[in-house]
Amino acid sequence: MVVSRVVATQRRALLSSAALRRTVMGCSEFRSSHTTSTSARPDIPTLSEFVSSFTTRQIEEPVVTNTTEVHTSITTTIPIAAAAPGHRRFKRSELPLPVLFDSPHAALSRKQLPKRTGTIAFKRGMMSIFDENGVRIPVTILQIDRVEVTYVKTLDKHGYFAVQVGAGARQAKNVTKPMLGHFSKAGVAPKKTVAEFRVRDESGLLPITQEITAEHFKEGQFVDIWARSKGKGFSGVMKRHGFSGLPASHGVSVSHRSAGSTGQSQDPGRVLKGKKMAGRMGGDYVTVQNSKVVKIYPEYGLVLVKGPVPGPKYAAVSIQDALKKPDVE
Amino acid sequence: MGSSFLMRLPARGFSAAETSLTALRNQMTNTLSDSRHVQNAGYQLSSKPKKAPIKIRQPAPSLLPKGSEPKQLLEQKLTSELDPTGWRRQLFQRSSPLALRPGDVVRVHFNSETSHTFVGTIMAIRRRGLDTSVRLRSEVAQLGVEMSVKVYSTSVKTFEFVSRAVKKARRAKLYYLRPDEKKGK
Repeated sequence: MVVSRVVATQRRALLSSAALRRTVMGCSEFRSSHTTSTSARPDIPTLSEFVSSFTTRQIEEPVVTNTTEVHTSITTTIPIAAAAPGHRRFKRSELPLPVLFDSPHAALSRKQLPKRTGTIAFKRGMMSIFDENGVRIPVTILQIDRVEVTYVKTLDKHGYFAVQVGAGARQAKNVTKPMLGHFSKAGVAPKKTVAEFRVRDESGLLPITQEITAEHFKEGQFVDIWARSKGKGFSGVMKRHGFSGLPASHGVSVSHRSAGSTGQSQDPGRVLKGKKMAGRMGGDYVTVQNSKVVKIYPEYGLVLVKGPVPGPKYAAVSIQDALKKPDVE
Repeated sequence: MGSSFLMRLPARGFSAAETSLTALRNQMTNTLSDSRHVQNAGYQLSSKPKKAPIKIRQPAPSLLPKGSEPKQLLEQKLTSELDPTGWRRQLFQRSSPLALRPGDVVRVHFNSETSHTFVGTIMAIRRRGLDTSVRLRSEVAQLGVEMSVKVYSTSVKTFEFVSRAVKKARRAKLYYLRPDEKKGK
């Protein structure tokens, strides 16, 4: 005896075109549940009917009996909102409603993101190589050292798609217990650095413990690289903002490298906000876009990238497919 | 202490010895060992099951050999690729018997079809491994021309030794060969 489930169309019936227009287009009129059935209009739902129409689903379940014939059936109401996985904030209503401008779904559709995940690499210095035409190319050596996926973020649970990746190795005694637990849960050894890379959709997600090697990138492709730049400490205005300073002689007293004037006179009578002055320079995130991957050495896990890369030697650096170039693969 | 203690004395007649200090002390200890006077902590130490230890996995070994620098590894690899016979190293390593010295005249042959050769005196040798370059100076149609040639470049075919310096140059960089700017004016 075949048991078949038939999803009742009570919801659809309730949300007929007229009823839908009325409820969605802003009519807040609901049939009062206290009115008598004779004066009530059956097409306008009560508030409880309206709410239950999209929070519950009615299933006609055939009653299993000892006899071969199955005619009787019972209808059970099950909640449908609870069944869908993910955070309540990120779930989309099953109703044919327009996507709100401020929702995570709309934000994701607007955002420009690469298709594939990126990886963490360690900057290991610079050198130069010669191409087949004899042209010298200055390159930065980036080492992709034991990079594994440690976590995955999805639209349902987190509101966006991302791959979290860990690189390097660190002694367990130097890793905090929360992080040790995180790595243990992921099934990887304790890593030195962890970073997240946003991807466009599910196709860019990788399974946890998947290793990312130098072969993730292709020779000749373009990448975006971001890292914390070298710290310059408390820098003067000439270094920090490229001011010209004052003449070295001709009566200039003591202010050879100063900024000079910081504003006008009584109007506005104050120094404007954002005035370029001396202060801490460096140590902030810098992105270099469209760097070319010149050569890959998979046996050493090295990627040679044309030109300089922010940050000091041995620093962790994030690389991902260039946003402004066509998708790779 | 007074009244409550006295009330606990046994209801019988006392002899003179019993009412002495030792008797009182005995009474006190007996009274104090009564379980009613033992102070309880008020809570019970629970025996919680110990948390399972965190499973720590061992890291895989690095792809780079221990103690090696990637730059060094790559330089060794590329040097053997770009200079398999080793003639570049013979000409430009300081200790080599065939080494070129500043003041020698050398002819460079290029792989290009448009510019085949350049002859000139070696003014300077900049030794930087793969980035080693040599600066040559010559007079081409009464015009001084200097050229910096990357030794390991794939566009360089060969260096042909023309002649040794007449007198050994007393310095490594012969920038003095350039004409004085002031003398003409």
